[in-house]
Amino acid sequence: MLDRFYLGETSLEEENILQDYFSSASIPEELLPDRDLFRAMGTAGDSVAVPEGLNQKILDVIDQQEKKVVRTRRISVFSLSGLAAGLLVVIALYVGYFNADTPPRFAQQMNDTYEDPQDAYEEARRTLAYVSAKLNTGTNELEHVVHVSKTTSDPLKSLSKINKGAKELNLLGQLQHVERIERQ
Amino acid sequence: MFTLLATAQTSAVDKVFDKYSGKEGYTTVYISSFMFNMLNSLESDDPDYNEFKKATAGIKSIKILTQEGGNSEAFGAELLEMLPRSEYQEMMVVKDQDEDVLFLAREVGGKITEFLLIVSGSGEDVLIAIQGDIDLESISKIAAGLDMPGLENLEDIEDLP
Repeated sequence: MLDRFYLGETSLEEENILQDYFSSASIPEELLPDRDLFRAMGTAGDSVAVPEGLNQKILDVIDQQEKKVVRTRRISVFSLSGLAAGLLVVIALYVGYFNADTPPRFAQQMNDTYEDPQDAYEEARRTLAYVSAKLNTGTNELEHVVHVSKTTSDPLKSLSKINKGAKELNLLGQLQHVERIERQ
Repeated sequence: MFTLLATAQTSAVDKVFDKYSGKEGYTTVYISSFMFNMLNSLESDDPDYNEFKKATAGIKSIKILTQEGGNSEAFGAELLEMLPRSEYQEMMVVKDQDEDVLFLAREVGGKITEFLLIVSGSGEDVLIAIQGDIDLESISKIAAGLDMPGLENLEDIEDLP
């Protein structure tokens, strides 16, 4: 019967008989490959019972997966925008620093002329002495100008104060000066 | 970092220095607040130094701009333009045969924050800018240590009745 099966000449009834035969336990060794074949065919023929609600189960699993994806995406967007905002602030500050006309920038452009404090001291002192000398020359002359003492402006008040110091020493000089004039 | 961005005003004098430093025919000298702080923190027995310290206690910086030869009038005119009288009050002008000295002061709240000297003539022009909390009295005493008209008369003091 097997030979006829392979030739495709068996009827359905006969195929069933073969199926039942191969389903039974004891099968001679030489027929084992045939049994495997019939077994495979048998399962292929039956429709597999679909577990109830499999459709729903699959949909649920898909939903879960989607939720996971959405969740992670939302978090990354927020943190990214926060990061971007922070970065923008840093950039703005950086650019602002370079554009603003600030004293520190000026100080960067102009470096201390002297590295050695001693040199700086000498130059500073020399300069202040020069300024001072010029000031005193001026204020000495101002002695003769009456309205200086009447001034209410603060800078000029300082000047007249300066003058006091110069005055004492100069008095002596003026006395001699006056003497000289009288002799002329 | 934020204090750097606070719109601190660059004063007109700073703008002058910005413009001219590095230019040919101009020399700039800058003594910074860093340097003054250092000098003011040094202890010394030298009376001259202590006098200096007192005078410079409030000084933040000294800037000197020198123009050698050349266009004195144009420089002077430019300075007048860049240092408006609205900000810098003319305190005094001293003229003698060789040169003119103009004193300008900028006051904020009753204190002199910038004191400028502009010397023109005798072949070179100089702008000296002292910035900070300026004590003119103390500064003027510095010259008392050097040549000052009348100083030589101290020697004759004994001769006077």
